[in-house]
Amino acid sequence: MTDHASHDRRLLFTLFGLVALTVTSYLLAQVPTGPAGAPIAFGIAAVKACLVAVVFMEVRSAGTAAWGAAVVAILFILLLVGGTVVDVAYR
Amino acid sequence: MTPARAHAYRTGMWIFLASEALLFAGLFALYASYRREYPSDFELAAAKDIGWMGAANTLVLLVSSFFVAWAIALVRVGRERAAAGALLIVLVCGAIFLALKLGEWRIHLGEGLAPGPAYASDELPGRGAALFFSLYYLMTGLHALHLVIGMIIVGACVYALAAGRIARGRDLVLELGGLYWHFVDVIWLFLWPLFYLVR
Repeated sequence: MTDHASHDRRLLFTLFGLVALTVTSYLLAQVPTGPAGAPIAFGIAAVKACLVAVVFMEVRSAGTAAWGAAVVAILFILLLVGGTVVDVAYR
Repeated sequence: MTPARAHAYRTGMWIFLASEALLFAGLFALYASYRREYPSDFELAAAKDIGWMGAANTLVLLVSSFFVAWAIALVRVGRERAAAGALLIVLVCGAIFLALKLGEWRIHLGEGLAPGPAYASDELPGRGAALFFSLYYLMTGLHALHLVIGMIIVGACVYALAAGRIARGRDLVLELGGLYWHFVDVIWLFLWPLFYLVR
């Protein structure tokens, strides 16, 4: 199989995986999962985002600086959201 | 273009996308804090969002991301016309997304679930519900604006492909535009559970 055909298959299988995760997420949201609902939904979203970033956006070949920008952004987002939630919780 | 310059452009694009992510992060933080303050109002309000529309929008954007990635792969093997066709499918996906989103907004507005002081719902009179829908319109509206910009970029890439300006070995513009489109998709991947799934 040529590199191009192999790459096309990788894209397609990633799409199938993303669709499967989306359907899973939707179905899980229909059943009562209690406080685990949010972590499950956002956990699946994070997995899907990683698939898009690694396969579609090819972040691994984008260089260390690009990786750094992505990681720093994620850390700052977690800090901002987490810090805000903790602040509101302890008022 | 030298490899070093292309690398610099890619890095710059990733830094730009990181800054755009921080823009949405502030809104996610706002949502999280108000949800903490009005948990039951947010839960009741989220139940008003039309589940199948949110799911359909998610699938549409994922499919569009695939076609963007495939378009880049096609250009890299010299199949520029097929790549242009793939990007036209991306534009169709974008239009479908906007149609569904505007349709849902229309349904909500018809029920009095409007943003800010225009909110007038007897079914959900709580302040928390009004805040939920203000955040809903703000965040999905901001996302839709980014999507429209993405569609303009994709449209420009289709034109550039047709004009021969994007071709094998000269696909950096398409690659950078594709990164922006994927970013728009990733943002929606987190907006979807925020407004549709977390009950």
